[in-house]
Amino acid sequence: MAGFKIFSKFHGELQLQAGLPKKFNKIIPGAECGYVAHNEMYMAFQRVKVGPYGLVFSHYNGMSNSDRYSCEDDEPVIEINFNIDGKARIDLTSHDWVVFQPEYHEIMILPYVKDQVHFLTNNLENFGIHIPYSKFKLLAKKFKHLRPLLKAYENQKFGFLNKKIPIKTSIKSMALLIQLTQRIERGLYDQITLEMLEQLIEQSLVQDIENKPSKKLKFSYVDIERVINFHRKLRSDLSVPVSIKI
Amino acid sequence: MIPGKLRKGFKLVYDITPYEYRQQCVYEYIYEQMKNSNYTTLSELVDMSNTQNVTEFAKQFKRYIGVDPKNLLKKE
Repeated sequence: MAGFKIFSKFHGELQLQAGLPKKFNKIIPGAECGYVAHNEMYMAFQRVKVGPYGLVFSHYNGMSNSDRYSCEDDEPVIEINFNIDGKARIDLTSHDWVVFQPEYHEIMILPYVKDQVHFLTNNLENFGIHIPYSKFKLLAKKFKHLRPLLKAYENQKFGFLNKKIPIKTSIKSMALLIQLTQRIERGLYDQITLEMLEQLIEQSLVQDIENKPSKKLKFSYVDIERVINFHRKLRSDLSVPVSIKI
Repeated sequence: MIPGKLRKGFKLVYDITPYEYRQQCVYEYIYEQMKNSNYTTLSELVDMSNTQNVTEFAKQFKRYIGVDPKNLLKKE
């Protein structure tokens, strides 16, 4: 996480330390970890690699809604960022201030990072997929809507898939993301996880481009996790007849 | 989550209702049992399903597996 810096409007640069905060329990096995702790709040970052993709799990806890935070990084990035929980106003490197809600995501090209965040809830949980240039080039061949983004990356400019970022995440993508996260939390960085990740990337792109998910459906990640658990339950104990009453 | 929402969410994620999914799993399980054991009559298998009689069982089995279960019974 060299080159990654975090600032508070009131307290200046916040020191990023190696490891994770005390009592933090959402640990990703084998992840490169870093955190910032200040008074009662913390920000925890865990980065892992699945195949050529970089995955970043970010947890923000006890955030002050009167402060404004910013982060900087010199590295260019092609990223799909999913908001799992919590709400914040974000300014993605002077693109514009937008509200990032739970169950929304954004697809963007950043030649460098200089984001500002104003937290609207005490907690925020994000999941970011960093797509390598070679893979994004292949995706742009398949999806013509990505070609301007590829061009933006090659010319070191900013690029966003939709003008009105972020985008509502479809229920199927949410389900895939939960299952992917569950595998990673068990330390499974195998071919199945990689295929699941690539399916999530493609599915998100197809649904963003072709079938924009309905905003009327109100399903949280917790709701979809219950659906997945129920699916598992139905598959188990097949020797015992059960009646399904829901 | 309220039950109706769970059912709706299930259908949206898996494109199948929970009931249909369970039925599919049960008949796949019975199919595996039939392949691996020596069942000679269908009445031995009715209890594993949610059906009341052999006729209904055979009908449901064919619906989910696509094969007449009588053809999978071992000859005595």
